[in-house]
Amino acid sequence: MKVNPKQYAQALYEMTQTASGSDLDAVIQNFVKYLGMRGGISKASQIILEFEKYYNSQEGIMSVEVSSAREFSSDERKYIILSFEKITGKKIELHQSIDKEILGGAIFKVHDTIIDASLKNQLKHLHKQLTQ
Amino acid sequence: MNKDKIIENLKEQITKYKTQTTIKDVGSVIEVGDGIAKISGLSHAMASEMLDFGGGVFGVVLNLEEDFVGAIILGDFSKVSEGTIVKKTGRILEIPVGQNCIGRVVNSLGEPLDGKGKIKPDASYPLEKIAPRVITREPVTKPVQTGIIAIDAMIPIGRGQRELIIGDRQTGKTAIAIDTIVNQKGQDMICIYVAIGQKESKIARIIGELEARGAMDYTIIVLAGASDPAPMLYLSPFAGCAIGEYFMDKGKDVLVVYDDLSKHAVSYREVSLLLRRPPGREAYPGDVFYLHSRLLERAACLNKENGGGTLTALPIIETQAGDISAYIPTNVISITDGQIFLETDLFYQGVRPAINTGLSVSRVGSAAQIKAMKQVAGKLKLDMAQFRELAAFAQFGSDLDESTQKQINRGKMLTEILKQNQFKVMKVEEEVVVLYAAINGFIDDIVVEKVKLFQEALISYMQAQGKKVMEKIIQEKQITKDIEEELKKAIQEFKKGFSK
Repeated sequence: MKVNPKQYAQALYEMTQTASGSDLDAVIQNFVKYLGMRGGISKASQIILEFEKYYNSQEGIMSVEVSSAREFSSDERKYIILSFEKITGKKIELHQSIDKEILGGAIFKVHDTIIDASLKNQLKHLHKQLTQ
Repeated sequence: MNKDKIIENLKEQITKYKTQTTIKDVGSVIEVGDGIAKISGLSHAMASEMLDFGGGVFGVVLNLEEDFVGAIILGDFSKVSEGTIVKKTGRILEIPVGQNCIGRVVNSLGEPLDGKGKIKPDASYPLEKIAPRVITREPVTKPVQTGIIAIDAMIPIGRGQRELIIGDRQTGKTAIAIDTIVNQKGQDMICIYVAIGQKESKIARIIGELEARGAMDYTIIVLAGASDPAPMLYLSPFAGCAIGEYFMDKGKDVLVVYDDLSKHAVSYREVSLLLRRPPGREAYPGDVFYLHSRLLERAACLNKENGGGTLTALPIIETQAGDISAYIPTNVISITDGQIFLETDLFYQGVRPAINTGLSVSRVGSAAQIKAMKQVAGKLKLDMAQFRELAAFAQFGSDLDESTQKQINRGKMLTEILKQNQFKVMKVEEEVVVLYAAINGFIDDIVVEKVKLFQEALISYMQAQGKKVMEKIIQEKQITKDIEEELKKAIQEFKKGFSK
């Protein structure tokens, strides 16, 4: 039977659920050995990606990528995380990246959805409205 | 307007402006190559939705799968790489159409290719559209005059019909289509020639010929050349049809030539196999029949309540070594309302257009023929059928009885009459007069070599001396007793001056 990365990731998650400490190391070692046997090493990067997704969905974690023009203060960070948690009811993992191009505001990326609240985008809209 | 007013206005505009955040669905490319891309994410994508790859490159969703979507890339796919962010547009693939398209050469996306500048569109039409429903249609009653005597008499085409032109390579398939377009001058018809996977040199020649004959004034060429990627070839007939539908909805008559659907099927097979859809017979995907049936079903003759426009389709199929029982030819034959069958043997015997009158049929066109043509075509069909039966005996020559010999001789004459060079299109009244003379024995005493000469001389005589009769035929649309008398007299008069 052909096993796809998603199934590998699920299996890994189930195995690591009960294990901890040195057991965890052994489980992961065995998993890698098994992968080698099945010729699945080449899919490693996909498996890692799927594992992250599966882990997050099982544990109720949502990863939010945000890019802004400058670093957030810790208060701002807290506020963003809190408001996302309020809406989604999930634990929020915030990854920030800096992009000077967007001038101000922020762009949030959750799964496949981009919420564009950047100053650049606002200016673009204003430009459109004024030139109409 | 003074300064303050302007500033006031600007302030008002800015205060009215509400800050808004835009929410977009995106995905990222995980695999790309050969004009197709596999994209992860895009969980809300629709089938045949347009995707924005950035940098002016667009794509179309074809496969919706569990973890990814399969899309074709339109245009330069070298700009797309792994990890490229892809945005949904929320629109089904559509192209700009309008009055300004006429006389232009465009690609499958409606972009101009002839270097004559931008085309200002009047509307956008979707490439894929459900064909007009039965309630909006009416039977085909108006003819498309192809200007080719063999077709107009024996395999008539009506406005709203789908007539297949089928034959091997180099048998004059395109020539028939081009002649038909040339003959539409002044007949209130908009022609669309869709070139699918054709050599660009051939297209350049065709455009030149059409321009020289003033046919580009009512013609649009949709070009997806042999060097264009398969997705563009696959979309081109739908683009041609969408442009045609715009004019049909305006109540106009439209003629669309798809040259040719064999190459279209091949390009669709390429796209399908790259998208890993399972192959079927001859490695074509299972939906190749639906591909052509949904395209040709969009040919229609709308009723008065729906504008009364028509869209006539002339698909072309290239066979391999005369094999009309291959997969694609049988499919398209069964979809269309008849076929014009061209043969290599006839072509080399000098019968051009090389139409096999025995195998060619038109299933609805005879209802669209004008009565005068019907009156002469009936006898012609009968004579030709009898000739085909007896043709095998022709080599026995003088051993045959008189009536058989007469029949064979008549057949030979008629075959000669039906020969026609390219771009020598004829008006319908000219066709009627020539056929009337042929089936009523006026040419039986002329030597075969001179039949063509007789025909040409007769036409020019009728245009000069017999103008009245010709006009009467157009007016009455039938050969009444009076007209017949006059016609007979005129032809007899002409024969006196013609040296056999």
